[in-house]
Amino acid sequence: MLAQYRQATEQHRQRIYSFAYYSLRAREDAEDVTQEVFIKLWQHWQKIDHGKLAAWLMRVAHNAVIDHVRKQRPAQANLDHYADVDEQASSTDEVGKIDQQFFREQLQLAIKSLDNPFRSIIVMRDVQGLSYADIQESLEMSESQVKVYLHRGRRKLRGNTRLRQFFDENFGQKSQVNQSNSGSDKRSATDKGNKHA
Amino acid sequence: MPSTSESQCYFVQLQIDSYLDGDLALTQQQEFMSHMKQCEACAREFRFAQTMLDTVMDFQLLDCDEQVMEPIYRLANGGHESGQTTQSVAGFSWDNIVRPFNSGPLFLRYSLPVAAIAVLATVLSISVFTPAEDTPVVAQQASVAPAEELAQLPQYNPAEIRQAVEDLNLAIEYLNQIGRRTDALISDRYLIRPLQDTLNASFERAASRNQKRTLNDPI
Repeated sequence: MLAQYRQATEQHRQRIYSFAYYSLRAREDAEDVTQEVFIKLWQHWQKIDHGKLAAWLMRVAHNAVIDHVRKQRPAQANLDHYADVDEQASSTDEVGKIDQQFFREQLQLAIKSLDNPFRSIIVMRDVQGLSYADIQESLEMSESQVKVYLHRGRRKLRGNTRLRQFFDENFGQKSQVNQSNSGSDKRSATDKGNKHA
Repeated sequence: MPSTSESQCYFVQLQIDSYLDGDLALTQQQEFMSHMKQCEACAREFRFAQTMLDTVMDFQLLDCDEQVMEPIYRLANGGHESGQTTQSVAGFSWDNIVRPFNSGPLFLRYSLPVAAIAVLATVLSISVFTPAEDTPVVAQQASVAPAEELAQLPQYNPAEIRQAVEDLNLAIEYLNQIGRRTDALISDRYLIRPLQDTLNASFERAASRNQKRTLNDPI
């Protein structure tokens, strides 16, 4: 049993940690959430339907993230110091890269500031590339609900004034309308929408 | 810029995410793109959405340090908080032993432990109390010293003794369970139900008394 447990943790830990990191954008908190999730996995090992282990883990991670956010609310003002230093742009001489890096960081902060379930769904679908079936299993929603929340969440991100201002100043005039549906194209390239598959 | 109504722009902008996810039908896609070519505001909104989605999808999947998992593995090795307080690591549990008895028919539930006790008692009595064939019991008692007497008792190896004790404990525990259930049944039948009946009867009497009083009331 222990060997199976270890195997399960090895298989899913990247997914859980990434989900927690992009939801909380804080390494220590993401590590806490990862630990919580796998301790719960050990505690409930006998009761879990192992055919739906991934969805179960994502649900537990989703709830753990919500708990973390609730605990942090009073200290919200101090959260930005969590932003990881190692994600700062390394090649400072390339302006384009700095812009992209800055945009990426602003986007991560914007995702973190979303309410649930918008945040979880965007992280699961757009960052992790989970299928709608996996997400609806994890969050116990219908597929149409997941899609509605996903699209609303994206619109909320687009409503972020800092992001929009930065985009207009730096990218708005440079890029052309690309006729490919970038999201679906990328997903089909990554094995039916799951980066981990 | 060609004239496009605000409502049309609003409708097209609502479709941006569906377009990016590839959820639009071919004709809808064509209408969508033709509008994008005509309307600069919608095209800018689309570029923003596209860039944002591309950036999000390029976020790397991250992995935590091994150190994060070490305490969890230690915990799992110790099994202290595994939620299996009644179970050992090997999967042994009392429930596993009792389940076949509880799920079987009633006669099986009682007959199996009784038979086990009977067999155990018979084996023990035969092996302990049967004297050696060649010497009479009285002569043996008179001639053998206590230490020698102990030495002459049948010898069991530790595994046999452990097995016998486990069987006995199993039977005792099962009989205790039966006893507890019987207690519950008896208390229900002889204490709670009579009490309920008495209370119900007194309520009925009180109700009928009130009814009679109102019937006889001259007013």
